[in-house]
Amino acid sequence: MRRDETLADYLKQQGISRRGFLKFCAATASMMALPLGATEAIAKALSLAKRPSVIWLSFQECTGCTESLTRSSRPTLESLILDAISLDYHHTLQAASGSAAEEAREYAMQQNKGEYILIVDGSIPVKDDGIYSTIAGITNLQMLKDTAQHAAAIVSVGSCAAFGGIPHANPNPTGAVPVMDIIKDKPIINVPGCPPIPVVITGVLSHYLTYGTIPELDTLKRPLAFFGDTIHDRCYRRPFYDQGKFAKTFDDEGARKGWCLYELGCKGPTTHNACATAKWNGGTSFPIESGHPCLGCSEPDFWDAGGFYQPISTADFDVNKLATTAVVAGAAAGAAFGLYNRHKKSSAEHQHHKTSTDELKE
Amino acid sequence: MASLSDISVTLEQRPTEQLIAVLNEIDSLLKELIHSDQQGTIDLRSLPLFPGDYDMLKQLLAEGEVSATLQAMGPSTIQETRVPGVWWVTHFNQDDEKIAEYIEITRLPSLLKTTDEDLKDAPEGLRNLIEQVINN
Repeated sequence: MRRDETLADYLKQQGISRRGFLKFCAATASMMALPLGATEAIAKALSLAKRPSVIWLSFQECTGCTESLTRSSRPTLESLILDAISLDYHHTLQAASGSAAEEAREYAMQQNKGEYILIVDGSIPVKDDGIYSTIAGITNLQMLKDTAQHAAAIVSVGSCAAFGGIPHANPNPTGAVPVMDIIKDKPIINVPGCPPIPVVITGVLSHYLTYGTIPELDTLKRPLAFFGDTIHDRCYRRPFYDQGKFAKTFDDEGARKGWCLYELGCKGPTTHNACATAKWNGGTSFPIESGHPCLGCSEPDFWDAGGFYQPISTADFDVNKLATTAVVAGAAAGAAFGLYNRHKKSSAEHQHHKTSTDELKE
Repeated sequence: MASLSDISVTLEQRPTEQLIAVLNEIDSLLKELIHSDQQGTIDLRSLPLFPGDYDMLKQLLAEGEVSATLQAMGPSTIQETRVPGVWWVTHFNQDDEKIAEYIEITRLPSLLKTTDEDLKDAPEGLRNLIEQVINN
């Protein structure tokens, strides 16, 4: 796909009908957590959207985030979105290496000054002037500062780039910090998770591609469309929590009956992410559906937040009290789920239209 | 060693609150279609369904009179359920992986209609066909 082509032009050249394009837009709406009614608006916007330049920097990371995005079998919705962006630098995926690779980054920065999207995975070590991680002799710290300077917006992919992640965990020997602790004058979108859900990464890119803006964010700079609810809010096991039915061990009767995993350490009540509905492995399941508590990987400092199998402190969550209240409200619970979904969709549509990149620049 | 399918898993409480909620939502969207001509959709991938709910919902709504297949960037199946006006629409990619799934409450899902853009190109395509026939 040429840079001056729109996605609609590109698909038409591939022999894809308008109906096929609308199907793609319907799937994109679902991916972005928008209602199906938004399909026409997405089609209209994508008909005009040009291909944005993307520079992807990997710092202190395990490559799990890149794996998450690229390991789905082709051709998927994710790969179509990747076709629609110009990935000008990604040192794991690009063929060039050494000085040729760095030249590609500098060229992309010059050609698309002020317009390119910078994606970062991995945290940045700042102790001892950042010497603990370098690429082509340049510290991660310096490379981030240089590349961020002319970026339109930054997407911090994964918990390391968003919140410091595992390198930031106690005792943090390299002084690892997230992108937002270093860059203060650019719009930043945090897409945490260890790794993040592929469809959430592409959902954010699709939003930018479609509307040319960044979505509405929460106080931790996460897109509300995907991180607006807790895992607990959207968990299919929630009714068991409301009824006070908990698995006490991994092999007891409650575990076999699929009861709530709260007492086995589930961090769902304090974790904001879309796993419960977007799911993993092509929509197969998510950890709780496989019988394992949520680890809370999309929240800051999840690695240091106590044992994975220790229940969340009951200081904030009084299970018995909440369960009793929920039982009283139980009669309306069925209707509430349905209404909740519709409310979620209409508020998601609102969120996707709200904030422009310019508005976020200070 | 026992295989995964040998491990007995008992599903609690049937039907679940989630399933009843979806059915009630379909009911309310159907009424909106009848009284205000307002079309509605439920994105099945946005719902926190209990394992087994999906199959039960599909079994319950079952297949109605109309069934269509769209071949564009992979297949899509568009099936009217046995409740008139309630359609089950599933989109797949070229690898037959499901990429979106909706219940649409409408007289006719919009994807079945020929789009203006494709219609505009249709006469030229037909002329080419006529020329082929004449030249052969």
